[in-house]
Amino acid sequence: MSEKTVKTKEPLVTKRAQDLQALFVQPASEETYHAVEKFLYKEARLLDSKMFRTWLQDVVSEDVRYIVTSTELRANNERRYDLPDQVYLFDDDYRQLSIRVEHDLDPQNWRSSPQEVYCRFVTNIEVFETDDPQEFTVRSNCLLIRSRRSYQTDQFFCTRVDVLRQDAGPSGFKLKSRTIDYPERCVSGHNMLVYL
Amino acid sequence: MEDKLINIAQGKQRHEMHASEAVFEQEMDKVFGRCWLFLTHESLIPNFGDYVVTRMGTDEVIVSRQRDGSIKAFLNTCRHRGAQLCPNEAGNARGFVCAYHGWAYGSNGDLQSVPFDEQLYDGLLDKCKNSLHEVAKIDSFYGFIYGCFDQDAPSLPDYLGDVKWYLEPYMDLSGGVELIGPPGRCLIAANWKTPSENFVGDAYHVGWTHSSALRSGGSIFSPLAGNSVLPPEGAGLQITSKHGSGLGVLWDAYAGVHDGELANELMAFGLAKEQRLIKEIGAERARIYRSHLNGTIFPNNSFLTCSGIFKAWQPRSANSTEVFSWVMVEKDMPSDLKEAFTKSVHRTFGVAGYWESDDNDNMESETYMAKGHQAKKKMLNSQMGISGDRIDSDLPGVVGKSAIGETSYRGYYRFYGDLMGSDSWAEVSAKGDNWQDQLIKATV
Ligand code: FES
Ligand SMILES: [Fe+2]
Repeated sequence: MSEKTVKTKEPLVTKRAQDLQALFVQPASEETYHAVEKFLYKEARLLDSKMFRTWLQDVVSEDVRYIVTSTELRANNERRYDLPDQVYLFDDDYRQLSIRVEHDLDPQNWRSSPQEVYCRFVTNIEVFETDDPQEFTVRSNCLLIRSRRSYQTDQFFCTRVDVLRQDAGPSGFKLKSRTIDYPERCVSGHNMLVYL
Repeated sequence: MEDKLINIAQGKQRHEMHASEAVFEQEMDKVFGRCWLFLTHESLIPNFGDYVVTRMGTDEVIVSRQRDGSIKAFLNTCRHRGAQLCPNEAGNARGFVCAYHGWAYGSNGDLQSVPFDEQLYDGLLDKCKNSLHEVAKIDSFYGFIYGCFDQDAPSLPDYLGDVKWYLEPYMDLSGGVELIGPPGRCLIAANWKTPSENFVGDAYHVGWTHSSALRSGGSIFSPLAGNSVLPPEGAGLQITSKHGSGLGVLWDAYAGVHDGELANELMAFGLAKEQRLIKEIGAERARIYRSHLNGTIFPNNSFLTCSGIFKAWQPRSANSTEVFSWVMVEKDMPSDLKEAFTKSVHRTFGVAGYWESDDNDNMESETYMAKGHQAKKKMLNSQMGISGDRIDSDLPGVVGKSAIGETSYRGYYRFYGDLMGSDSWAEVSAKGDNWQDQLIKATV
């Protein structure tokens, strides 16, 4: 093991983060920015208020893809081990999100009574144009604090990359996709039964 | 207060076992220091130099594929000053170099080089005496790799005992299974035994705990929602074995917890293979292949076959457990079905699994309540089906009266009690000589 390894390639995770930059090129207009900001705050309010059915109806597009991955920790100079390094904690379509919502709201969901309380902080919002004039790429950070029973407070934090499509409905946009690579490898918050 | 932690004769356990740090310390020695512990699957380290870092009790270990195809495991601890050797979860490496002073080890654990060895140690450092601390025994069954710190432990096949017969159709005769990684990982505020005992033999909770998941998800188990029906007599089996491993069988329930179109596709896949297997291995075992098995390999490795859930409940402290969740899938499943299946496994029983969260809530509350000064002295009850346990000439193990019972809880804690009350494997084995009688004679 005396051989000195010289780094010739970026680690996979760095490369992934850099590839994403290609989506963040052309900032959208001020007007669009403010409309998106309002949309994200409304979404956070609906979710904090546990209005999950309204969230699905007014915010989420029926062709949604909602993804949260967790990435295995590998050496920066890893070259040969090529099994997948990501696990999909969420990869849900509209029907699957609806199952989660109905699970949570079911009168026999024992863990939802008494209710958990959420507080979301959405920051670092950036809005970019895409090839489609109706659609925008939105990058934002989300900190979600959950209080549960009398003795548990959990923190979830992440960067979200969304695609929003303009919509005639009450929210102005709909969420076409959300992609999160969750930063904390071993999730300390007991479970991820939350929408980030 | 009853004096024993485990009362085998009456199927009871003292609640303290779920929260006491003193019990936990003993467990690290007498349970995790002695038993075969799940490490990884061959499919995750296929090539020479491939490794994963995982846990055995509170220890981190490197599990590494050798040049000759064999597998070794070492404490992930540098021999010099004890720094963590490998901070990665998986990879391929010819060896491991410590970040502190640069001692370098081969993938076989040998200390190969020490910076400025000749100038600084005056020839007094014997590299041969500073190999990584190796795990005493490694073996595998059907590709699942286990390690054991105790040289005196029985062989892995003996240790698994009667549960092997039930696992073989799905894990081997089916054409084999693989594990899909990386695992989901999360930390729950529960004692490691609470999920282990639930998976080993709790068919009772499904209709009630998972009421909302059953109703919203629409799996083949959905009619149980809200305890509206009891699975009919003969719906399955429950069995336990000498070394505490045990399982439940729900006949023909191949699609498991999955829902929608995926459940239909899985059912069709399982049925077609069962038809083929009937000719190869006979109808009885082909049926076991397509039946849903919930179980725990003692002490902390649980699974749901067919549903595809594979878990290690890794103890961090008496009140904290790290959950590792892999997908277990038949190798010959078509790749698009495998992909949909993998995502559905994590959707139901992963870190964000809506079934899993129902369970974890119970496990955390059992643990939380066990801290109560009065509560911890009280005995817990696992007496369902007690006095109905039997030997069956057609079925290995001690077999419970019905699929819904606590036979495998009793078998799990019978062995746990033997381990905790013994100073060596010889003593453990002697105590377990009449293990079947102990369970069959148990009564309230
Ligand atoms: S502690 Fe590892 S080289 Fe010193
Ligand atoms: Fe459960």
